[in-house]
Amino acid sequence: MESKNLLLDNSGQQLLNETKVNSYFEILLTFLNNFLKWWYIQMPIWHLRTLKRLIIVLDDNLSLSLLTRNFFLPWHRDKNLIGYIVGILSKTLYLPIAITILIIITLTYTLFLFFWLLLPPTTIIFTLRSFFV
Amino acid sequence: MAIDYGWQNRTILGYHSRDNNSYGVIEKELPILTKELDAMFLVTRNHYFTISTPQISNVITNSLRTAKFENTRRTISNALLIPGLIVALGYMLQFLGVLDDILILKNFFNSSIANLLFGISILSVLALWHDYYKDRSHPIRLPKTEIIPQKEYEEVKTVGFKFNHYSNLDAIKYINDDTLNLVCDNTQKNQFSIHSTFITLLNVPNIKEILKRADIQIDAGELNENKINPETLPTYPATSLRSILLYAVEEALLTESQIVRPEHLFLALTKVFPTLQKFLQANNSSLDILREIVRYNARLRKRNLATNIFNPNVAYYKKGGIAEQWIYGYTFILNHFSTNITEQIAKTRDVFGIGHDLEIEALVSILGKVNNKHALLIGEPGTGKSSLILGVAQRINRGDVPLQIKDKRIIKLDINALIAHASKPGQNMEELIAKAMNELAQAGDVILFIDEMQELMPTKAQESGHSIAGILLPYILDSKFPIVGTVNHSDYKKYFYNNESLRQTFTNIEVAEISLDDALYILETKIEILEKNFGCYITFPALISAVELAQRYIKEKKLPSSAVATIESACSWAQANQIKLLTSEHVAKAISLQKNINITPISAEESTNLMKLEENIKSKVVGQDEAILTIVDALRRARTDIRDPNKPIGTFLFMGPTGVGKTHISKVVCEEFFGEDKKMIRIDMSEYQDIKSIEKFLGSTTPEFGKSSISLIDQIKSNPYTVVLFDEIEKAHPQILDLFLQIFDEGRLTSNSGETVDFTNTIIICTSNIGSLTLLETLQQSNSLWEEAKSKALIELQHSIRPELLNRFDKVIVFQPHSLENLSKITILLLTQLSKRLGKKGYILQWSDQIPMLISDKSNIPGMGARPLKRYIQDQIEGKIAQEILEGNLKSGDEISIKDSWII
Repeated sequence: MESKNLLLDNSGQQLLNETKVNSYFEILLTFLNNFLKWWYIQMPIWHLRTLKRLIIVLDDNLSLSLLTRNFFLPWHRDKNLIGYIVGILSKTLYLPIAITILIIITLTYTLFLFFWLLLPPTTIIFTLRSFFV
Repeated sequence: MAIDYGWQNRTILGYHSRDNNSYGVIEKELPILTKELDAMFLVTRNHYFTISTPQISNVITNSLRTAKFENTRRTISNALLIPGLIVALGYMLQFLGVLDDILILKNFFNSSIANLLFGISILSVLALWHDYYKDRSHPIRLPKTEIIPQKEYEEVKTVGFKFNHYSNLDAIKYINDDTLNLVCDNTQKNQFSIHSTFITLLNVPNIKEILKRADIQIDAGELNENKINPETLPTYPATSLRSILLYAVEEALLTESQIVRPEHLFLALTKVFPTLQKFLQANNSSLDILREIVRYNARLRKRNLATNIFNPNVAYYKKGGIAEQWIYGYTFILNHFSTNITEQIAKTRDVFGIGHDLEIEALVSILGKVNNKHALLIGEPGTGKSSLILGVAQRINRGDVPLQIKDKRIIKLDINALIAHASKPGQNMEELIAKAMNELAQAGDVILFIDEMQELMPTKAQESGHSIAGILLPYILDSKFPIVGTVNHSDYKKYFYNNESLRQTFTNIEVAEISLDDALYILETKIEILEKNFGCYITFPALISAVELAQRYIKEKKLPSSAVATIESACSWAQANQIKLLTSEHVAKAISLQKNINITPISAEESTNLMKLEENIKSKVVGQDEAILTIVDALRRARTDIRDPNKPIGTFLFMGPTGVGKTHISKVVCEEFFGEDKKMIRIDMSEYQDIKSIEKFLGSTTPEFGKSSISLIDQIKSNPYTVVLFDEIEKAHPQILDLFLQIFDEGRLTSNSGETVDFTNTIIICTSNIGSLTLLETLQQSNSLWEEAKSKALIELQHSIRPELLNRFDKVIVFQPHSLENLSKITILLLTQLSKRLGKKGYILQWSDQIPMLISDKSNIPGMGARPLKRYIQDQIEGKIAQEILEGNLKSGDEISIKDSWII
């Protein structure tokens, strides 16, 4: 049996009544630290993941990759010349429209992400500016 | 069979003592470690969780020092919202020019003060938003626990923990703020109070909801009554929190939760403290039920999250989109009599295929094959064959399938709709099917699903009266697209088994009845819709009862179908009776009413009746006290539910000469226990002397069209709660008697067509005349005793019936021939019955004390029992009265006195 003492490698087993109470300023700094981490690290990551999901949902709802994958498949699998022509033609016409919709929505969300990042400094600048201008 | 909730073998609790550097597994007693040198850890398949004293210390001190700051900050942030809103309104009015004439306001909203207020309030909103996010989302989620294989489990117990096999996780990181705050609030001067924590937990809204689901009502009086006080739930040093929080983490892992919440702490306390377990027992609940409710809540939370398609933390099921149809082949004709299952499934939130993971896996791999890609799902009705195909559809939507079946659609063929469509004017069945099959072959993206596939078999089609079979079957055998069919066992045996080409074409997948816990899970997924539909609140004891009682009493259907039907009828009954909280008693009541049996808890009145059962039977049966006592014992065992549920209620062999009351006592028992005497099933075993008659017993192997003989199987299927009387078993063929072994041992019998019928709710009584002559002859000898006669008869029985069968009877009872005194008592019973019949016509029958003895003396034929008595009363008394009535000598209201002269 391996008995690696992992449980107790945190050697300084301090007693409960020996803890220090920090100053309110320190707590305020911790709060600001947490807030900034949340606003500038956690939430942007969340927004990027949401953006990725948004692209997946749009892709699915607009049938983009499905049609691209089956671009050369005839219309309703009707394997004759007309079927092939109609199939390819309809996809050629439809896909640019769908891609444009996808790009517009993606760009809108990206803009929102920028707005998110700029909101706290803009608010502070707006507030301070009124005192100096 | 009890529900296995699956808590076992998922986690192992271990301890380490630094005093002697020893490790061990915590098994039965759950300790609360307070010594700093002792530590606890929690092991799962891949991880081990620890909490150290400094971590606990930090949590408590952080809580103390930040609570005041956080409260003040939140109050200020909330307060700043009001001026922020006013300034925002002012800006808008200013923009619209409304404030141009009100200079004071205009100047104020242009001032730097207003700007400052507005800026700060925006920052307050951001801070509150941060708080809200922090409260409701926890950044780190618990990993899913896997079952630890038994081998590994045993190895840990014997060899010890191999820590390098697991990754270390800090348990404290998985505990949410609400739980930590609750723990800190109940820690004063480094002492953690279990009692105050428990009381605080009882007021947490989520826990209140859990207790309501468990049908537990708590008030102060009840807590006192159950000794829930600071003595039974003591105070420990704060170092004990390491153990308690680890127990809470274990509960979160077991209940499939992603973070540790107050309810897990509640479960942990219940697990550790016997007082709380006793309290649950007193409320007809248990830790298992509470855990199951917490697991249900966790699953519900996940399902609700899944409704937001933009949430990146939940799986997204692709639906195909607006142009999906473009790549599908034309199925214009097929669309008239089929439904697209994959499309339907994408719209629902339900979970399908629960309990059939292995079958789904097998089906997916068959459908992905190049050849032999047809599958036949074989299972009893209600086992979830259709749900299984829906589960596959869900996996296709999710993209969790091999490339060969990706983007395929499952189309369900509706045979009835096809027949209806074909019968429209101008339609030709043959042409229609040919076109539809051609469409399917052309489309190339379809998996065809045919429910109840036996309908396509020529023999069955002939029975059902349609001609589809002969036309469709060749296409199916020759198809290039995958086909999935369903059929039950008996139909498979009847229609598929002998058809070699069909057997070669389809790969069989056995769909077994799902387990009780899977059935419970399925019912859990239906709680929301049932509550909405029936307007009642469903408690978990009700759900558990529905599963357990359905499995036990609804044998004609299998789980989960039987359990779903049970809970639905209970809800419907509750709605009709304006019951708002559905409990286990209500479910039992609903089944009792549906099945006409009594399975509700025994009421005081019923308890008295059961105690008086012996007396009641004795009032209807003369003599035979031993038989009555034995049967009454079996009935009491059955009603109090302490009997073996997998065997018949009782199996008895009654021996004795004719007319001693063997059949009569069976009828009386049936009447007393099952309510109506007509319910008894009586099988005359002299009809089963030939081995060929086994078909009559077990049903025919090959059903003949138009033949309608009723086998024992059919009788039991339509009436499974009854007394089954097998008369004169010694006359039956020995091979038929062998069938009794299965009935007596397993409480079931398999018919010739493969169906299984249940005998667990029957009382089986066999009668035999073996030893009758010996009994009579021995008793006629003046100096012989009853015990001696009985022994001789039993020896004779042992020579005639195989010991393995005799051994399986609960009791062999030898009926005593009736004495003259008993016959006289029977006469009184018979005359009383006659008196009642005459009473209905308005006549009053009277007789003197010596009449019964006179009748029994006159009618007695030794060895013939009470039957001559009946005949005598019929001929002499009833005959005379009938004559008097016909002659007009008796009018309604007249008294009829039995005269001595009538008894010749």
